[in-house]
Amino acid sequence: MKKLLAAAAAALSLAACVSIEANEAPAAAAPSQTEVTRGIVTPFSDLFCNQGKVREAFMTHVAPGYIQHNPVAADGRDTAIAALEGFRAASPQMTCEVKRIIVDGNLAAVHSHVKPTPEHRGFAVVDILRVENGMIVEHWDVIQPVPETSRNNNTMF
Amino acid sequence: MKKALIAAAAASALAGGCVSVEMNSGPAGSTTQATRAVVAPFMEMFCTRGQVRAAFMRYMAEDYIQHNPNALDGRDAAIAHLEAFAAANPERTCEVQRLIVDGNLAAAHVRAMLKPGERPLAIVDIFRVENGRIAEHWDVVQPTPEASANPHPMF
Repeated sequence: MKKLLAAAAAALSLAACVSIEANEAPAAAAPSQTEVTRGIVTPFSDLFCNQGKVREAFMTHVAPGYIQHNPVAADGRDTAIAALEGFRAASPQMTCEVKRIIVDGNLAAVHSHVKPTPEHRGFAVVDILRVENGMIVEHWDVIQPVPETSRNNNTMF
Repeated sequence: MKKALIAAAAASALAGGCVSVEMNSGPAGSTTQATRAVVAPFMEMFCTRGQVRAAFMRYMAEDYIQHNPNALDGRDAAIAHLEAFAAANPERTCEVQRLIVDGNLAAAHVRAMLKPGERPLAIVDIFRVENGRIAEHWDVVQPTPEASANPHPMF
């Protein structure tokens, strides 16, 4: 009799459990800030880096008053477009490959390999982007030329 | 009889028979938390407090994969390299500017100065965490220039 009671209690508790959660779960969870940021930075990086579509990437995803921390560029989206289109024009065989994207709240880090020509060892770049109101509003970066030799066999990427 | 059964069921449900799933911290969320719980204290110990050996022994996997071209694979090689570096630069500073953690990856944006009066270095360290330890490391390191085209620091 006790066993039956325990078994019935367990079964009922599972049923109660399921119904409690069904009643408390919201119909559709709002996306987290991290997922909102990811939804901007991923297409931006693909357009800008992988596809080399500088203007389209910036006009779609970057705010006009974009704050710039890269020491060779002035503030602002239009300045950035001009500078980056300039680099691409000077190196028409330039390639850029996104290696990984790390997103946390309103910040993202994009690790990429940029090569002015196919024969060039290229540069390792990490861009850090801050998103606000659906647009990229601030940018930091760190850039390092890939050296000729390495003490390990793993590439910088 | 029925009342007792329902009461028992309710008590059992409340007592933790239910596993509640938080909407925004399913498997991805909990991996991110686990990664942050390794990388944040590692950076505090290694970077902010300069405790190389303690930080590496506690938080790095022994067979840590190294992508920094100046270093060998493995934790012991990293400790040797960094202890030598620390000895050569006893007044160095290291400040984490921001930490970005996502699943099993983390990026730390760091401002480091080797010797007082020198220009600082801008660094991003990227870590991959596996089974509670840092298993892989990439970095990008750039000396900060004298002049800038904008009014902001690199950080």
